[in-house]
Amino acid sequence: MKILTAYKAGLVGTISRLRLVTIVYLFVFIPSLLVAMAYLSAYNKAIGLYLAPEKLMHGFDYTTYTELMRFEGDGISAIVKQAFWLVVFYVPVSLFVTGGILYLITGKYKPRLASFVNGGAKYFWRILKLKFYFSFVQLFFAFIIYLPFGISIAMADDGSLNEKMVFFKLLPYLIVHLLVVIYLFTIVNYAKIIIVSKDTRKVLRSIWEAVKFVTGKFAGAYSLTLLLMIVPLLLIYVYFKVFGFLSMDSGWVVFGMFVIQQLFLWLRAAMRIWFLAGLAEYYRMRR
Amino acid sequence: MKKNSLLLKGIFLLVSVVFFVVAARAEKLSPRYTNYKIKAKLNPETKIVNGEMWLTWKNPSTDTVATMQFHMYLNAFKNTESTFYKESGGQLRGMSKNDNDSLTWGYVDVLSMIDDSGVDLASEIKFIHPDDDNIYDQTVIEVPLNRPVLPGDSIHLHINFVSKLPEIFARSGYSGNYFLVAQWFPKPGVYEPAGMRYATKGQWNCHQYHGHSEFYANFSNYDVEITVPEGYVVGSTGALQNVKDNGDSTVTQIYFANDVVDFAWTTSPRFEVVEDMWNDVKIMVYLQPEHRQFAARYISSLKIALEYFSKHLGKYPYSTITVVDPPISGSGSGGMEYPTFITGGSVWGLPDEVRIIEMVTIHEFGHNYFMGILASNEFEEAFIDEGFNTYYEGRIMDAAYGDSTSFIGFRYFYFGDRAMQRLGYTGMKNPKIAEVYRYAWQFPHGGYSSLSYNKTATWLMTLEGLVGIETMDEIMKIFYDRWKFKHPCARDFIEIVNEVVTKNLGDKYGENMNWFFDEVLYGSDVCDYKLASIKNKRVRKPKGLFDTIVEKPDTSATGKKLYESKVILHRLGEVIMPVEVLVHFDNGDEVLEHWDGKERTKEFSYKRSEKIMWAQIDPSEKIKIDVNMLNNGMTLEPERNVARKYMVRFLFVLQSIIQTLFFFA
Repeated sequence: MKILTAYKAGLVGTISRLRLVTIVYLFVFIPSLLVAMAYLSAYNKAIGLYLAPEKLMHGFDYTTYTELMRFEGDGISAIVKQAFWLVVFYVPVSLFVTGGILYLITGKYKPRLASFVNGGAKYFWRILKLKFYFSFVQLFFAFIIYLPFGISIAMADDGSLNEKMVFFKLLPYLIVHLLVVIYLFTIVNYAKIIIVSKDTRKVLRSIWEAVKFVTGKFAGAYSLTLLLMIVPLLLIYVYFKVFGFLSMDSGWVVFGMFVIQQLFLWLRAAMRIWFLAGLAEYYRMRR
Repeated sequence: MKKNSLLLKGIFLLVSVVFFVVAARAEKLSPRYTNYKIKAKLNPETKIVNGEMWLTWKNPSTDTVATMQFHMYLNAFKNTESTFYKESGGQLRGMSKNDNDSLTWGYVDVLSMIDDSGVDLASEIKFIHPDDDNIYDQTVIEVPLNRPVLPGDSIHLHINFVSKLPEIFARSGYSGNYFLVAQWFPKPGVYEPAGMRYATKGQWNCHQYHGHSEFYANFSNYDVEITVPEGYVVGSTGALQNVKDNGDSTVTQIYFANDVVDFAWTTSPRFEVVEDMWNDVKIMVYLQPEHRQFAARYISSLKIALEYFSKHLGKYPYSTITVVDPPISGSGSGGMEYPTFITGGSVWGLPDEVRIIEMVTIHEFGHNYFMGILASNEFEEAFIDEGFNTYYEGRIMDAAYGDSTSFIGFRYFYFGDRAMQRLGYTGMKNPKIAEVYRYAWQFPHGGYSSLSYNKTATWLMTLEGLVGIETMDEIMKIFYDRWKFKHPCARDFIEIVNEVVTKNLGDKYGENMNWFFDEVLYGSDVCDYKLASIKNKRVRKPKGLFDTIVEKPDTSATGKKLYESKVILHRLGEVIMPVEVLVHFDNGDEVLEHWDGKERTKEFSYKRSEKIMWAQIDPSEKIKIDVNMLNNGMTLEPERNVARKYMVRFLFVLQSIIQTLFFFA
């Protein structure tokens, strides 16, 4: 039942840190909005005084879309490339954000921007080192898991294999890999919690502690991870089911979708904090 | 020798009599200048088909013919030096071949070729290269005849041959225990008498096997016995007549096909066969077990195609149609056409919204009319086959599955087949790369399919837009009726277009439509009209001195504001097409203007109390060959919410990706 206690504590902790949720949300929203505004400008410029793009408002016209991109899409493509580099930039920034969240959660600090930035900066290199090690661990496990599959495919007669057989041969490996990935994901998250809660620079030692913790309390630790993933997955499912395919065919609907999407993304930020807060609480209770 | 000769003549006579008695039962649709009886036996282990063939060829000309030319197309797969291999670079249809395993290469050898006087001509065979100087290409042979064939006379040849099938990477061969046996036997070229197509004197038309073209042959009757191991399921051109159990763990299936230009077959122990009927036509689908769920899609699209072609072009004249669904490892043999026998393509798990199965099936079926029944020369005028067929594919797909959803039909991402075809041409990096009218192997790299298939389909859509669908249908029906089983050429089609358009539309488009074909078929220029600007200028009250000689202009007869408005159009491309222009005023009034499209710049001016709000060149999108339709319309009030809509989506995707990074950080 400790997992339920941790689960609830994570939720309560998140609700009591709505400012932190907003900081995390804004950390993504503001730079993304800047790129999106450039995108809007490029799109407006591309549309110019053309009449045809009206067809893109009410449904989707493949010809118009393709020709718009082909003849006037250079500016739009440039912005999309910028967006790609923004995503690349956010790979390390995401580690910074995780450090900031954990610092506020485990230290029970008030969710202020300054504290968040302090925490992010303080643990950035340690979490980066942790991710670096775990990238190799992930690759190693993927190699071990898929090696027998690769051998079985390579040894099979080309003519006797078909895509359905390959898929069903691959499926058990995918399932095993998914379970292993969740296990490793659980370990890496506890390792981060250990690094921040103990304020230690010994990353490898933290990993080892996390391995012992997760393996020693496997059922609880693994179940809690799965439990904490249910609501985010449900949220994503509900969003796409209800709003994902809503046709934006008027200015008001576009605005409405913008509001709904941002609410959804804000909730996703909250889920991330809930997740870490839940694990941190479980670690505090069971260590 | 003489005794042998008499015996052979006797055998030929017997075989011919039996064959022709059976064949004569069927209505004769074509001249049948060649007729075949073939016995073929497949050894699945060695991938070899041993063949024995009795061939009759009738001289259709007034010439005395002293040599014969044959296609030996499996030799295209003999080595890396064949013309086909060099043109394809060993890569075609997403598969490639570049190994040194002798089992995986293919060839066809004539072991003996005995004429009806008992003389074996095999030793006289030589390889020729009518299309290039590639001495390594062995896809065409020439045989000097012992006895020249007199005008209207026939020659009988008894040929023993061996066909080694290649591992499939393009069109024909084997993959595991799946065999697609096509272009597998020595097949005479077409002897064109003076006056046929472009021939000024009697000549063999027998091209090498090329990367992009392989069809031009006589209409023939086939009687083919196919022997395979027990358990192997056979599908073939024509109709099954009989099945014999040979008692040696092999079975022989006998197929007849009349009035067809080729004969192909398939076999595999894995096939599951689903049968259905459309009117009197028997539909057979040979499926891989893992693709069993696609049977209904194949059958449904075949019925749609049969219905459409029969209504819009002519009745399907054969009693069967067979579709082969290849395994993924043999996908290089997919999407192919042979008379009454086509290959499709599918992948397990393919969603219904991705209509590749339907598109390929309808396209390949359509070849029965163009490659099969009209039987134009694919090597020299590929567009008549591929382009015309692609045009019909688009019409059928759009009619059956919706013009904006016929190829991809997801809820919020969709596009139609015709739109895809048009963009296949207009989206080329250089649409001026070549003209459509050239030999198939002479297109610059990347130009063949975009021009032969897509540009042709696009200019046929444009022709349809100009003359109207009824006239277009009449043109195509007359073309088909007049030229079925006769090997038409481009000239024959243009003559019919001129005849029907003049009859139906008078001189609306001039004395004839040759200008159209000069632009789209024989020329490489592009068509691009642009709506350059819209101007609305308020007419001010005149100021100054006016007298009785020069009266003061009246600018406010109705008391309303008056505008001098203009729409300015540009012709950016060299191609000239007559176009319509729709002008929309701010009170909702619309004016449809007609422009012959000749000048580089054209203005339409109005003096009205309403301003022009928007204008559109070719509002009905008849001129599909316009390479940029985006610049055809202009508005003074563009829909800004489009940009907002896409910006909102872009922002959401960007944030979602970054937040996902956060989750895994």
